[in-house]
Amino acid sequence: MTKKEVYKIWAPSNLKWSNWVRPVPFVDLDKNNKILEIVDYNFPSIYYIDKYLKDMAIIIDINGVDSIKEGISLSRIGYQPIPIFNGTNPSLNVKSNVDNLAIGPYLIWGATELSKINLGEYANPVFLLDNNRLNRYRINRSIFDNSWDVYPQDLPSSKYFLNNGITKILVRGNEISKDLKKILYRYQLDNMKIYFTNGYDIPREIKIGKVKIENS
Amino acid sequence: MKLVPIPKEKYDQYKIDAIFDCYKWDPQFLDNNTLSKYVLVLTEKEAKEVAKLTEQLDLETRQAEEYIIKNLKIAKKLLLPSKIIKEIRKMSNYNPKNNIRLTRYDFHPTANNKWVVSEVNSDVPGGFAEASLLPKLAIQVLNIKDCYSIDFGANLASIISSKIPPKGNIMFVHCTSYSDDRQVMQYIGDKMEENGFNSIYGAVDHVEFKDKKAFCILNGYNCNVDLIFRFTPLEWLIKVKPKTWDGYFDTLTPSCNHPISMFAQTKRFPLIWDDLEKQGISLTVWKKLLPKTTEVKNANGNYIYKPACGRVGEKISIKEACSDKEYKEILKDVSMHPKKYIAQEKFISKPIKGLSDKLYHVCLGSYAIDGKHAGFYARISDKPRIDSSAEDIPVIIKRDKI
Repeated sequence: MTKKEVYKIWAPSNLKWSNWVRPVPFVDLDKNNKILEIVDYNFPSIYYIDKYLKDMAIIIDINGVDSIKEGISLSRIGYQPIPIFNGTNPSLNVKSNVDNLAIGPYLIWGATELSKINLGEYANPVFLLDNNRLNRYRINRSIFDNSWDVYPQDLPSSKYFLNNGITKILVRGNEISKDLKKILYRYQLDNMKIYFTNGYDIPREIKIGKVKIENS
Repeated sequence: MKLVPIPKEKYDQYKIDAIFDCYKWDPQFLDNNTLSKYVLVLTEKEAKEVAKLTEQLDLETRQAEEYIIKNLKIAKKLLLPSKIIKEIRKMSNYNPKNNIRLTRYDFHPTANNKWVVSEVNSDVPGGFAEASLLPKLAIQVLNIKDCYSIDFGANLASIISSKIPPKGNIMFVHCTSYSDDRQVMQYIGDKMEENGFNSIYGAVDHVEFKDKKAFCILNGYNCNVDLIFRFTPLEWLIKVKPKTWDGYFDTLTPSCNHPISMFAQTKRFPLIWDDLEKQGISLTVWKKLLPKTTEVKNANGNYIYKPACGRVGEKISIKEACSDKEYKEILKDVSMHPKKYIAQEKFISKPIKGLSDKLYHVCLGSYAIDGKHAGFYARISDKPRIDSSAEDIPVIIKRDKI
């Protein structure tokens, strides 16, 4: 599959949330597709949700590879996985602090799996993040810093969610990341409910502490 | 000028091609699709007029900054950041012939059928691929024979090639955590690779300076740098720790842009025009095209406020383009930090019609490289403020009938 074909499967033009799929991890798929010696394409079990909820969108914020796999598992109960990875790659042979290339083969695999699933036009989104994005540490200055943050403009507004009947956001992660907190706080201000799960426990409603926000 | 719609049945593929063939990696901003469903078609007369004005403006800008660098007292009113002021004297060795001066002037059609220029993107103008590849794609999709586009990328590559040795190393300095910066660098970097140069992508602190010459410390790429192509804004560059960036100000390595760009980048630049004119520097065209600009305290009448260091249209107090909350917050910030803003007389943008008579405001960016017009980059919005949620639109030119 070419990168355009892979992208089209992840972001079909007939689905409501496709516009938010970030093209960045797809642009190098043809030339920089990392070959992994051990690739585990098993579907993970989803313990924290057992059915599609029409008033809920999900954000998965774990290791990028696992995020894609969980997104595909959730697509089987009706959610549309929306990769919003936004990290770039260093030039050949340059060391970087985040391995953004690792997700490439899984995006291709995911496209194969998604092409077998018929998602409804109004399928709610599950946004896929890679929590490795926050690896800021560089052993020295010569390292290419391709860590990244997720920003409010990378996701729909609360108004858009609410207009589409989504009143709840479930975050699946190890914790609420600092960058994500700024986005969730805005949603909370607009009366959306925020839930959290570590992947095993039943989602619980949480309150996001006050965050300084700027207009975007 | 007019808007021509991309046929509905062709738009989805156009968008995919724009993303993957035209480096449009950021097609969505919040709830907004940022790739227009239109093409902006200029007449040859309009294109030539704007090109001519661009060259006139650029001549004035370059003459002004080359005067300022030798007469720094005149720059006092610009209120540049103290960290920059500390380095500013080092720039006296600036030689325009050794560097590449790239600017983009923002033109707006107005209700009285005249052009207004709202500002110059003097330091790190972007939109390279949108001004080069996207118009070609649009012409192909529309399948029209009587239109052409200006290839900004080819013009930029040609100038770069003329200023550095063949197979030279070009360091594309940008904020490596931002993919929207990288897409700009990757486009011109790939183009220079096609021309036989070596493109290196790194951050401000991947460049060190020895005997005023730049070299790259990025692992795997320890080499001399033949051109610094900077996309990190100066006001961000000076915040990098540890302080490894002072060499950017007096390096003998050719730069695009050299930090001399800061004089015209600040929106306070017009506040020293009268002083410059007293010294024989003409700013006639600038004065004709830029709405009256003054200190916040002197604003009396129909003025808007703009941040002196603003870049993408944020925090500009155009009431009808802001939410009430945002507008109040800007006014509050202006009253608390009046020196961080300037006041500019409000102009009435003349919108143009799209389908179903929907109106769009246009900002037509016009590039100059070393004084020569080099291409167009446009954005449109249904609001009179062109900001991050505006749509990128390719600019093509309709040939005159012979």
